Amino acid sequence: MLRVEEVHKSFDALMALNGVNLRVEENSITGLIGPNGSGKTTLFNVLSGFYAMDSGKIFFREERIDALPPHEIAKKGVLRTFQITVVPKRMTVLENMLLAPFGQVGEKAWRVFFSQRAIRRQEEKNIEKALGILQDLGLVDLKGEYSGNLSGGQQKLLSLGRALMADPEVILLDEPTAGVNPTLIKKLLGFLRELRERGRTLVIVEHDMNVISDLCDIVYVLNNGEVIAVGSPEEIQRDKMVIEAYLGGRKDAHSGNK
Amino acid sequence: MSILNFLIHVMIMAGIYSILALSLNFQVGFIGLMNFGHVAFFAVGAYTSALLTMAGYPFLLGLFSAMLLAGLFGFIISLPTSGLKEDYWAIVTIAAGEILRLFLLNEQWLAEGPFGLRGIPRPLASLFSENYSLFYLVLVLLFVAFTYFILEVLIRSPFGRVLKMIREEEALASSMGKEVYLFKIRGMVIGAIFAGLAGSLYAHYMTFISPDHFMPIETFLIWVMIVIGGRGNNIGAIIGAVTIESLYVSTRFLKDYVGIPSDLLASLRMFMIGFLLVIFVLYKPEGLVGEKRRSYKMRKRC
Repeated sequence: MLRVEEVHKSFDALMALNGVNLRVEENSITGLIGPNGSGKTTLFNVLSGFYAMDSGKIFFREERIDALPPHEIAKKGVLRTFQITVVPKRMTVLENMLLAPFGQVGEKAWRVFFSQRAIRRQEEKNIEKALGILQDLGLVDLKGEYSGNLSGGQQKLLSLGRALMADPEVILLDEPTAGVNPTLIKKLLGFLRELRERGRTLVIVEHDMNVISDLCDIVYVLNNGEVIAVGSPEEIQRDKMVIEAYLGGRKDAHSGNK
Repeated sequence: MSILNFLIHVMIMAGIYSILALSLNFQVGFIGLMNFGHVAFFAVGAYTSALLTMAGYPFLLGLFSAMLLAGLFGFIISLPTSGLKEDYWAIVTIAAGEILRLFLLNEQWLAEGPFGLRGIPRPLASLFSENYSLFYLVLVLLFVAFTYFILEVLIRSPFGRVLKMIREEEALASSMGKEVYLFKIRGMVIGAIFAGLAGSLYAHYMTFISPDHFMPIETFLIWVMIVIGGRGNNIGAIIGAVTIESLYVSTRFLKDYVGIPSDLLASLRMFMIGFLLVIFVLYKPEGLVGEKRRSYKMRKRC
């Protein structure tokens, strides 16, 4: 469904992505692990159009998307969340959610005055949908709260909820469990699995091996901008190179990266 | 000047500045566009309307063209700048305002350069000979209400929601499929249109305009209005405009009552407004009335 071919990206002298190849199958959860600075978030930024890559190709449903700006890629159905939660401080949780759906009639300035009824109908439908998702994420009581006032974990959940409002086919989740408390993580994992059941495709950057082996169908291990291993979670955990590059150094891997 | 006439004068000026404050607040308070050249749109509106009506065209055509041309000017400015970050946007808009003022100061063929335009006709002047300013006050207040209504509806719509998201987190807006620069251009144009409206009302009230009326200090004043009133709140913008403009206009007449020379008074006035600004930024940064949280009507309770 999503195919990355020989992607290179460098920042000055630093080679962030060095010929990365990746295949994301429809209806699956793909994990992306690797030590800090291995290129995971850079890959997300390239996939979502925030960085222009130096060379390579990215296909979504056999269509090249690598030259598109972020909003075009989002509209095609590939949506991302951010690792460091980007949160609009002075917008309520519900506003966050309602913003997400594509092609809203009321986003055109002149139609605000001439299509009031269509807008109202759309808003009512979206509010209902938003409340449903917020209910699932345990955020429904906070719907009128400014999202800047939420805790870090709640903001993570909100960014997932916001992405879901847009009905994307592929969701790129950058460390969705970072800062979320253990009981909520369990719920979140169940929720992500349910999303796969409902036909969504997920790509997850994650440091927690338990989450990865719990959730992922296939795992890519990045190190120094290269894929050093691909396989099921079990295979990955037995792989010598991975143990050396990543799992052996797990203590470091837990500190925040950028 | 009787006290009543004076009050009417203050209210007309406060009304015109309310429209300016509302339009700047739309850009600054809701989209986060750091527009420091707002006076340029005001000037385009004033000159357009003045030139057209002096050439014999009706007031309404002048007013409409003022809005159109100011909007066009906003569009032209935002075309090369819509990709810029906010601080750079601020610099570009200051420059645009100054370029326009210097152009008006140096041209001779269009609007008399530094001498300005005199004898700008007042709309329906023959009908209201005695209490013309009262009529004009009603006219201005109607336009304030119109501006308030239009901008309020826009802000409360899904369109306004995207604007707010751009103000808060631009990258997030584009990651959610919103074409950020298009929204910024629209915001710039809409704000400019209403500044143009204010310009037209100003020209026909003063009956005389010159480049001196459109100094960068005007933009600064409008900024003070929205900072004191409350960024992101339209009522706040109006309150700020009324407060500052009353203070500004009424101190002009203080020299008749206290023994302060007028040039000193003018500096003192700016000092007072600057002082007020510092106090607010330090102790009440959200302004007199801050932004209100948006709530939605729920069909069923949950």
